[in-house]
Amino acid sequence: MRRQRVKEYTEALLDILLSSVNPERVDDDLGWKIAENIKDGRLFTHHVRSLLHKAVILCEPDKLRRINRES
Amino acid sequence: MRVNKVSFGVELVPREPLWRTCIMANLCDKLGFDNIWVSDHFFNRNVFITLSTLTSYTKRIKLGPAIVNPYLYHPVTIAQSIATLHEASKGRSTLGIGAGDKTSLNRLCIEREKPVKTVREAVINIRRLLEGDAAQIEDRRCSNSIRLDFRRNYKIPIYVGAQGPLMIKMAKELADGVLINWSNITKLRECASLIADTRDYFTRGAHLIVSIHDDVDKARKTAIPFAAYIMAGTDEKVLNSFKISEEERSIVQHLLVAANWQKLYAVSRDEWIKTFSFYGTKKDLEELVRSLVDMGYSHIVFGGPLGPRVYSALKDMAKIVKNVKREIEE
Repeated sequence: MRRQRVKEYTEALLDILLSSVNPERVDDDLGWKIAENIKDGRLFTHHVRSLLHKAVILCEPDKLRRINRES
Repeated sequence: MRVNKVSFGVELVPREPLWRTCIMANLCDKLGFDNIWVSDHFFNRNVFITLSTLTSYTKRIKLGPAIVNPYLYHPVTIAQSIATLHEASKGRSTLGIGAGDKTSLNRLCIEREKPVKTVREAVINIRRLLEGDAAQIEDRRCSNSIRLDFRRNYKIPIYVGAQGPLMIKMAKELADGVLINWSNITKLRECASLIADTRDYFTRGAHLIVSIHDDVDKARKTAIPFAAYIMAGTDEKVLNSFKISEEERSIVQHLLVAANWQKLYAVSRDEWIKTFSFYGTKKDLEELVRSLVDMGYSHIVFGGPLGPRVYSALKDMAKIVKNVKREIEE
């Protein structure tokens, strides 16, 4: 159950990052780290979740607060 | 006419950081789509450099530009670039070529002269160059026979992006497929009748501007700038057939160039949004896809915004792809 919720949270973060109209606020180093990890099949790891979290704070802080409230 | 095999592509727009396009490409590869088409506009990131980067983030999906035009890129540059991409992607490249959009070319002070003739000559020359033959390059000042001076005989499918009957006719004659650039069901039906007599190996593609979400209003809002962009570049005659005035087109074009989105949303009308894009729920899109397959389309490209929530939309589209493919195989 918890694993499922963590997976949904990770996917929600990814959805915000890929839909953001402010992706330029995420520095390239962080963006490339996320891309590399997803390519290597590590999307659902704690490390990638924290990278996504950092990126979403930069590009969509309000949306992050909203999903944190909801989850 | 129903097809017995159908493939699906996603159009990626390299307006956003390259790392994000790479994530999208990787997800498309893993979710089971068949093609990635990267759009080309001078104000976005370079299409061929983007595609080359995507080769490292994908394993099996086909990669190609949709659409490059011979006004901005010399046909020799297109042939050279797509041949290089073919090597970099280990044989996964496809080429989409067309006349380009009038608005962008006008901004570069390039006149889109004789589009069908220009694209036709480009297709012939690119094909010759890729197959190791000589291309005949001519203009008012000179005429030369030229070749690429590296590995030859590339088998790269060439698709022509088309909206009108003359471009479609040319594509049927010379290309491996066509990508019909309409999202309006009436127009897609009209075009389907024009390509119904093509052979099985000819790819009958529909390149749609799509925005899906459970909340239809949100899907609509996301579709507006994309529909506006296509509308702004559409011929007056075509606009008149949809009862859209030149004055309205001009207003929309100005708002686009000024990136005045709030005003654009305010002046938007369903008459043109629905003409130049598709918006709705996942279920609505699945119905549209089934109709297109029934019409004989064998390749469907989901382009444009995809939806206000891009990853969710992509996953929904992947489910549609699986359902439709399974049904056809049964």
